[in-house]
Amino acid sequence: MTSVLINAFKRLNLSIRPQVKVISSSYSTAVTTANSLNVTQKEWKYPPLYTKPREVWIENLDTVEEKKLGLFELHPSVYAAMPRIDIIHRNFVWQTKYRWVSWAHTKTRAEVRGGGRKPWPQKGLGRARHGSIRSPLWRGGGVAHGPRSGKTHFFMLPFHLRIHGLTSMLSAKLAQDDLHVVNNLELPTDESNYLADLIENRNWGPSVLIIDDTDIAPRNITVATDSLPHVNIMPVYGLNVYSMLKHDTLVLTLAAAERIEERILHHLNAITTEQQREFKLSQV
Amino acid sequence: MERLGTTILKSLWKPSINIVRTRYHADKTRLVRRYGYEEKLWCGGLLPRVPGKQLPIPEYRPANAWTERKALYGQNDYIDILGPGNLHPVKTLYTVPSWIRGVSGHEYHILLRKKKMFAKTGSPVVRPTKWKELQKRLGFLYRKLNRKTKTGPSPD
Amino acid sequence: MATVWRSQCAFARLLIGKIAQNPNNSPDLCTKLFQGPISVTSRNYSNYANSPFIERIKEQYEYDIIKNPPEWAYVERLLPFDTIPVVTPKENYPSGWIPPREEAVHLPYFVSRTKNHELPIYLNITYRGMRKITKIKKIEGDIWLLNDTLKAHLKETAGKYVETRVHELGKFIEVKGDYVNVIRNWAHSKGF
Repeated sequence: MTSVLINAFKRLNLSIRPQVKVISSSYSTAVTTANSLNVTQKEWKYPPLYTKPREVWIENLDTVEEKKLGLFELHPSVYAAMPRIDIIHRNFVWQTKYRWVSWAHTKTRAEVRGGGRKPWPQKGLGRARHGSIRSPLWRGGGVAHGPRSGKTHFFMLPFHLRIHGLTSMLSAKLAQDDLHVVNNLELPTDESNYLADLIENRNWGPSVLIIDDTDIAPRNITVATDSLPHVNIMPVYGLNVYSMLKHDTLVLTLAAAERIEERILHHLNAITTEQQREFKLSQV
Repeated sequence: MERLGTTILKSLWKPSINIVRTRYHADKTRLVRRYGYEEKLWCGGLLPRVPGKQLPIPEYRPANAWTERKALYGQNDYIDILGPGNLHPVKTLYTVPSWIRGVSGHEYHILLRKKKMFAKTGSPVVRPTKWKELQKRLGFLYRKLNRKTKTGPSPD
Repeated sequence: MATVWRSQCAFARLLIGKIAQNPNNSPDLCTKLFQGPISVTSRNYSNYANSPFIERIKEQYEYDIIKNPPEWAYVERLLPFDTIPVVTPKENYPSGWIPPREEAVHLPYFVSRTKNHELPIYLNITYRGMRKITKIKKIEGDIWLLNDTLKAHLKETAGKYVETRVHELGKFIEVKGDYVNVIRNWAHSKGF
């Protein structure tokens, strides 16, 4: 069923492509006119052999209404991988568990203060025999088999499963039309109303994750997102599966999209024995 | 003399005495024990359908799902893939204390590591009771694991 | 503070060594001689707080920096590869490796090479050699059509019906039995 759909898509792509393609060299000076469109032809180090590159519109952020500035090609092995929900789930579980330390703590009978003396003689009083007032049977006594502090749930997910989680998540976002590529993050104002209107106007949903290539985003967008808790900015190296699942829409800048592609393609084509090695404490 | 007088008077004058009841049982109100005490337990039957007195349901206060910590949860977890490649994600777990960062194991392993790392600090001198309890626990776990449980994954 | 104490100690040790040959070279004598500051906590010799500041190490040798010298090419040759290099096209390869052909791209299905330029066909042996399963991974395009053609081909070559299992989401096909060489030859004939 899926392969039939994929084939249909391929045919669709082939029939549409010649109509919109007018090749130009750079996207930075892209201007939309009535008929011509700028398409960035990419020279990949590892060009896709069989699956066609995915194409997305380059959008803008300087007006509330969406302007299509051109087309942008995305590598299929990063943005058109098979969206494996099971692998996404394993990544999610790993992200929640590997940082989780449970600090719940109870004192044992040895740690509760007192209780060294036998409360009453063993025989002759008609009472139950007891040796310590801090026994787990007693009120105010120690807890048997209670939680002990510093319980970790740490494990490392294999390196290539984490890469597959990223590609699966990016591909799922692109396939569901939740991945948008913008030319830059320059806003005309620093008011959060503007950004909220823009998100409302473009149907970007209840939450937006903006990914930029650099650590420092432009001032206007940082001020605007400051009062919107559901709109967040991250650098490329901060991107992760959990945040992509939590946020409805993923907005990448051109540079960020290329950077993600470059990093993942690098690891898909490099020798990764070092990274695949078992995690050893104090050696990373 | 006087005593003689009274005996004579008693023998002579004998009035008839009739017992008259002024307070009847039917007129009596029921005795209220512990008057003024308000019963704290509900004794009026099944609870949820009682009109007027509802079950004490706590007020619904949903947690803010978009606090900064929750909104940016998981950031930098893929820094070894998407970053320059010289930083492991375990190194970015700043919220976790360093002695337990990236550690996995039984309570005994974790305590051994804690002891090893805290022995160099002022902890044994500054917090002697804590230190003693740590060592007591280690001794207890050593005896338990080595003498009372079989090799392999232990029951707890 | 600790560094100061240590330097005093060293000085003292020197003195003691000169005066009375201290056999164990023990620091206990020093502590008795110099009553330094006594802290509650144990003394920590290597600590962030009390370690000296980093200073520039004095250069012992004179050198000058040259950008892109001609000898750099020889150094580069020794450096490990950043990524797995692309195969240089040749007439024939002495290892017997067969390169993928161009026309395979036009088929409705495709088996892409691994990053080491090998065919992703593997044999999984389980149950102490009782179960052998050949696995073809990294299948793109119409996996069901590939399954049908492969099944027909295997029936032809093996002379019997061969069971296969298709995992569409995982992009792989599993074939019951050891058919690695047959499938590899078939894949080479298709140009994968």
